[in-house]
Amino acid sequence: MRHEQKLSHYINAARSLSIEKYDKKIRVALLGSFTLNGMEETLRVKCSENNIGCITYVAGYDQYNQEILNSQSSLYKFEPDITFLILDARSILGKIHDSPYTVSEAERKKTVEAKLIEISQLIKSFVERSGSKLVITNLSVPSYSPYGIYETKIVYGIRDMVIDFNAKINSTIKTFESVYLYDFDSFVRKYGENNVFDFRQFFIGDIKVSFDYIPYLIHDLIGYVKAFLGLNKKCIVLDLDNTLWGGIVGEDGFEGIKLGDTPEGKAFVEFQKTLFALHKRGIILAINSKNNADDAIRVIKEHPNMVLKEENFSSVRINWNDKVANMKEIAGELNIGLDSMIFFDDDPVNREYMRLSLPQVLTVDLVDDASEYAQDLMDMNDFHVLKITEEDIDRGKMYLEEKQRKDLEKSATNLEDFLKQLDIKILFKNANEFTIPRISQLTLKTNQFNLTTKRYQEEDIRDLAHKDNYWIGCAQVEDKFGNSGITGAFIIKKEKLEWIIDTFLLSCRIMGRKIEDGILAHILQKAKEEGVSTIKGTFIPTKKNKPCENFLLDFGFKKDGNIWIYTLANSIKIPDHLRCSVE
Amino acid sequence: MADKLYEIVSRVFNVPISQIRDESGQENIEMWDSFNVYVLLDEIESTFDIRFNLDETMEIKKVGDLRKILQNHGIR
Repeated sequence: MRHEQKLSHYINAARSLSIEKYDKKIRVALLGSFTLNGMEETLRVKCSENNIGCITYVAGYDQYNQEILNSQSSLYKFEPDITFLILDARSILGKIHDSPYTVSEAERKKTVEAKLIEISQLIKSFVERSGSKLVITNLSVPSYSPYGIYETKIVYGIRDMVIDFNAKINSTIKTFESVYLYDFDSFVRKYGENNVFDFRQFFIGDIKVSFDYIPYLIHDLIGYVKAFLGLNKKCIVLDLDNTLWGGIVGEDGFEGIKLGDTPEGKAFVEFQKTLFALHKRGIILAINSKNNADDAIRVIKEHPNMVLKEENFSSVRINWNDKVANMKEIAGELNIGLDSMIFFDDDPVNREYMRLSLPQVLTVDLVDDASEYAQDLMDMNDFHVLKITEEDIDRGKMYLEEKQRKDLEKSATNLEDFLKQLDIKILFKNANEFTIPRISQLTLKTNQFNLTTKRYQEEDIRDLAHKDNYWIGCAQVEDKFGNSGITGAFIIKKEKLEWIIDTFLLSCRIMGRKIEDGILAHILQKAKEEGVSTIKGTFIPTKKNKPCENFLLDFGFKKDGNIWIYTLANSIKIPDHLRCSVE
Repeated sequence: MADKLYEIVSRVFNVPISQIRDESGQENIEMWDSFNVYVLLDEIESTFDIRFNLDETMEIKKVGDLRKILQNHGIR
């Protein structure tokens, strides 16, 4: 199990933090129905460990109602990106929590209903007044009942009350795009009520998450911060011997490795199952192993207990080359940043080498015990996204299609020939309820082919889409190998005589196929139809967006200071190899 | 025991160990407030593997009090 530091470590470390050095910054508000001391410090320290500068606002003790209902409150003035509202059953249910059976079943129902209305009202008020994401906790279901073993015979007893409250609050948050539910009840069950709740600390300072467990709670909450900032990891790179299976295939042989059947073997199967489940929701898997390729491939292809199959790996490097060099190659092949990759290797020397050479890669500190691998993987807070789109789920398949494209590219005589053979179709869509989540996600995640790297949350896109002077669209791309989904997006600010390209981006999945020319041509055509003759664009350089540095120049834009200008005169030509249509 | 205790106080309250006396408490340690003193307590408990009861907890006003309680728990 992952072990957290003591709370005092965080309180101390928080004193000497400076957030200036971090590029990524986030504003977090903490509100609660009990003492939140220690949480704020831990949050800031844990953010800094992830290279995030965290600016916090902590509401006064039990002041969440006032803060949310007063539109002039310090909470709203703070303008948080994320607001955590941490509630507990004792405060919410009051007297009924302590002696539920002094009132009738009907009364108990009424209490829960009244509380639900109150909290729903709070959520509504908050959403109306703030652009912040809101993360609200559910309540921990109490383990104790004065009725003892008879509790489960009671109609709408204390546990039913909390379970009902939790289910209904979960339904409520689903009706608000920007509101999330943190399953505090699961947290308490995972670590145990007797650990998370300490009566002495409760009496001393109304502390309802004990000191030792505050770091674990904040670890979970950081998952939202990472998701908000688009820092989620996309790819897990795996070693083989003693990582995916026990033993060394080159020495122990095909029959000698531990995979399934034995206790040690089961641990590796379990780890593979966990990886497989992540893969099925869109996490890419890759192999980076020093091994005899034939031996290792035989295990992957033929071993009866391999959960992961060859087609689950989007990039494979099994050789005697340097692991760092392999890692860079995998990143190149998959066209993703090293900072979105995780490295699993049982060998501490390899890990240290990777960490020193490629600090951007998250190298996981595995303990020397495979029985903990699956749990370690499940405990990570690096895979969260605020929305799982269809594109995410299909990602594994898409990388396989990409492999086929690469093979075609190798066999084609030249680039034009290759592009023609791909038979690319682009379907243009405007921003609407179905496309807005994906457009926002693209602005948050796209780094390479992104002219301005402006980040927009879903609400931002929705607001702009409602304005008459904005045109937001996206491109769904398909070719003979498969559908890449919505992989291009643009935001145009329309002024009377000219249009300004606020955002123009292309997912790395479809780069190198001149699809960008088709999307830009589509924008220019529309401009022409509306009688606009000048298009202005900018290129804001970042560490990562070099791939689109010359895009506007190559298309025929002329530079004027920092601005690129295109004057519409002749008809606009769509590249031959693209078939475009509009939804 | 006193050395270990002073070391913990120094670490938790971020003050040089040389400045810590049995008389140190709320008046002369800046970080000593009602919350941090419990963080300190929590550290001491896990270091010495003991648990203070609520009465003991409420008695703590200065470092010397902690030393006394530890002695009562048989820690030398």
